[in-house]
Amino acid sequence: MSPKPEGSRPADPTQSSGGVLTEEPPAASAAARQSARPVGSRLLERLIPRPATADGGGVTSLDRSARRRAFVGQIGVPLMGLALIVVFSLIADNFLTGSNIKDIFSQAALPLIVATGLTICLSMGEFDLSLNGVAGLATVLMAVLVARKGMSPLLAIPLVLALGVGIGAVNGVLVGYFGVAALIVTIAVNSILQGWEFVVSGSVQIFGGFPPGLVSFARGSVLGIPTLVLIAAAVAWLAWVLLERTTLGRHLRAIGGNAEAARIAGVNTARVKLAGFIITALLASLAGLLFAARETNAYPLNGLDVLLPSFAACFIGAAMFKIGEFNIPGTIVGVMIAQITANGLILLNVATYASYFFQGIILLIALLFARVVVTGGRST
Amino acid sequence: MTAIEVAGVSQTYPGVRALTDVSLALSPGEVVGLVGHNGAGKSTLTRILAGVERPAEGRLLVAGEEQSFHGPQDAIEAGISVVPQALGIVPTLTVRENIVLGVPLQRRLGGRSRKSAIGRDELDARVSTVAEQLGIAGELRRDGRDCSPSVQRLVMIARALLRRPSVMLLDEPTAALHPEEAERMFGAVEALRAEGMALVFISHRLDEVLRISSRVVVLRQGRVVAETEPSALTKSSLAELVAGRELHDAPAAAAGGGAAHARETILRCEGLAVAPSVQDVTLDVARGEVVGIAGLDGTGCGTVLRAIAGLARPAAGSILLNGVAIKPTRGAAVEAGVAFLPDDRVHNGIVPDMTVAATVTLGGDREFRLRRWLPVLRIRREAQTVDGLLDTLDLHPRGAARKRVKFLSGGNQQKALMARALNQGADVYLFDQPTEGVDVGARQELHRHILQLAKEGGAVLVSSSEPEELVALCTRVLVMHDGRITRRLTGTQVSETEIVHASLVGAA
Repeated sequence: MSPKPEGSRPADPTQSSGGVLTEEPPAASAAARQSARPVGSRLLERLIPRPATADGGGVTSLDRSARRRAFVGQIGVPLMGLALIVVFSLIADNFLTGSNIKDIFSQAALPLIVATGLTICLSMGEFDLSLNGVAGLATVLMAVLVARKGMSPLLAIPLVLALGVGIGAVNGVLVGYFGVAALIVTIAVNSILQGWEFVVSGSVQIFGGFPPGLVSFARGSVLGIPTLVLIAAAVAWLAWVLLERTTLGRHLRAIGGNAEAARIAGVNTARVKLAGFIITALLASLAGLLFAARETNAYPLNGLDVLLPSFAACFIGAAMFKIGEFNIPGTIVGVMIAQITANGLILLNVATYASYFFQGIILLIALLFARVVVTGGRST
Repeated sequence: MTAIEVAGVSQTYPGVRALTDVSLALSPGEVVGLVGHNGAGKSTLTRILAGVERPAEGRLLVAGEEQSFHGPQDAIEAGISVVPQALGIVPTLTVRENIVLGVPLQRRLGGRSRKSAIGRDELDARVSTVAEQLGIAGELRRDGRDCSPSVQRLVMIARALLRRPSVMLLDEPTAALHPEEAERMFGAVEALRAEGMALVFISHRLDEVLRISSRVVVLRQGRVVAETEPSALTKSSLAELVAGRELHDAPAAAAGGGAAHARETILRCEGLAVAPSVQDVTLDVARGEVVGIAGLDGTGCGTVLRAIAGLARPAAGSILLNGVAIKPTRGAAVEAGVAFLPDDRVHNGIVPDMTVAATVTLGGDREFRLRRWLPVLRIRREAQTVDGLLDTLDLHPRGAARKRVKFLSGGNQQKALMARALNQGADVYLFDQPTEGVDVGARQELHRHILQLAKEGGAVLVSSSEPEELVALCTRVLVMHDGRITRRLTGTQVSETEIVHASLVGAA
């Protein structure tokens, strides 16, 4: 999409000289549009307001077809979510029940915590592919500390979170200060972490011996709302404040939007990237340790599988609310769509392998909508 | 007979007359040197010859017959090739692969080939001929990235030669080449000329133009002001033709008179050197002063500004602010009060999806934090303050602070960046091409605000490729040539002609 700011470049003379057969002047066509407009486009007008140019009037940046594409894309994802709910509630009569809805939210909590961290990383224009490794190592380490070594959770939790900070710092230093591509850094770090899971656990499954207080906390509810959902909601809210209302959030988004402009404005891009990677890894390790507490068992490479769903949720989210930007509300919707799909397929007794198949397809369709919104359908 | 000829060509863009009644004929076996300052009409003429634009008036004759080009393809079919200034070489391909890049080949297995497709044997023959001609036969297997800049340029020429043109336009073929590298380019141009090609050599390097051309054509303000043999010209007389009216010896009276009132030097650079090209730059800017820095593209004016702004690390020399050296990081420079408005606003200035308020306070939002230790921003207060700043800069319509910056016009985006400098409370303002791509009205406003900044006690340094702009703004202009300051113009010396002349000629 990225509409060109009006008048940011000298007018291209090649267009003016060759264009004998130009379309009607913009003013006239705008007037024509005003009079004969289908009902649907009024809704479009409300959802995607025509950006007012600062010179008052003049040509708008988003032309009509781009706005239509944006409209299709923007309502596409929510419509799909709605369609999923309708379809599942029609064919699975236990789908729209209080307990199942509670179930969906419970299942969404940990993926949401990880996806929130990833949203921060993506909004500064970087990747983190070590999410599975961070969450997995956190799960195994937490299990070893509390179940095998008998450490108090009050000590183990900060320790595991500190490990997350450390891993994020490694990613951040390599990417921010040494300028290595995040893609390869985080894949390498992921591999190291997954190897480490075996070292920490001694390659055996850890189950039993979890402190009952911790387990009842992770499985419990406050006022009928599962604690993990409350934690995820708090994390998402804090992340929203961070991205939208703080200096660091501004700097993260400035780097994601135009790193050179941010540097020229005086943003210490290396330090900000370090901070971004630390937050991402911290949240992944938080999700990992909560996973251990809820499942009360841990085995290497058998932890939260959050990498693909997190990326999918973030990219779906970028097509909503603040179009073209990664944002927390969008990520929440993205996570919910993935969870609703997974839950519905389980209720329909679809075999696990087939469930992967459908989840993949539904994610691809949602991503396609997202892509159409962000790029206006251009392939390059 | 002429290979190509334009007769009485005029071209108008909205509000600008780019070419007026220009006639130019190219014959086989000659090199025409085309010179003129920025905006003189060289590019327009090139675009017309390349079929990119059609002239509003005038005729175009190819081999004596009148033709009109409807697109670049027509020009190519008529045997006209333009070798652009930008390097389009792929570093990981060999020289040979680079030369044949994009040439349609005949299909091997009988499928339908394009009409212009060439057979493999034919292609091999053409490549070796062209490589012979240009003297790069020995380097065909070398990787593009291992080639010297002159060979890279020659590869671009070779690519154009594969189409067997009869006319070639070379746009700044020696820009950024060392003398010995340029020598190689001249050899190739001479060889092509000897084989009967008509060449146009577009360059700012006057001595090269005088050396290589059989005829020199000078454009100024869209008209041909001179067309002569190079032997009738000297470098200095050619520079005068390019710059306009005759130059008199620099009026000595205006210079050196200073020291009448106390000058408070804010910014001082001593012996500044910055890779790749800037050497030994010494300058100072006093409170309330607007100093200009001029030079052709690539001489390093922008690099000097970036070094002062903390964005390029100096190899030697010092940068002093109020007598104190500043660390060469952008953060330190911002702290010290150096505001920098970069050139190329789209790439260096704005983050398109940010609000105007965030754009203005980026890098300096301390006063809007909830607590000193809690960097949560009070965005309502921020928006109010920013709207106030934008008001002082006459940004219309009012209340733009919460809009996304990409929806502002170019001039208003520039004002938003200026508001950032104001918000940072800077002492030194560095402007790199401050009115690039801004319409005439906004341009005048920006000029007014720049002068206002100086009046309010700022020290302003402006780099611009438009002499007119520097004359409008500056009391002193430093002219750079090949990375050094070669002239310092003051008082009445600050004129368009002096600036153009000095940037072309270098040390007088």
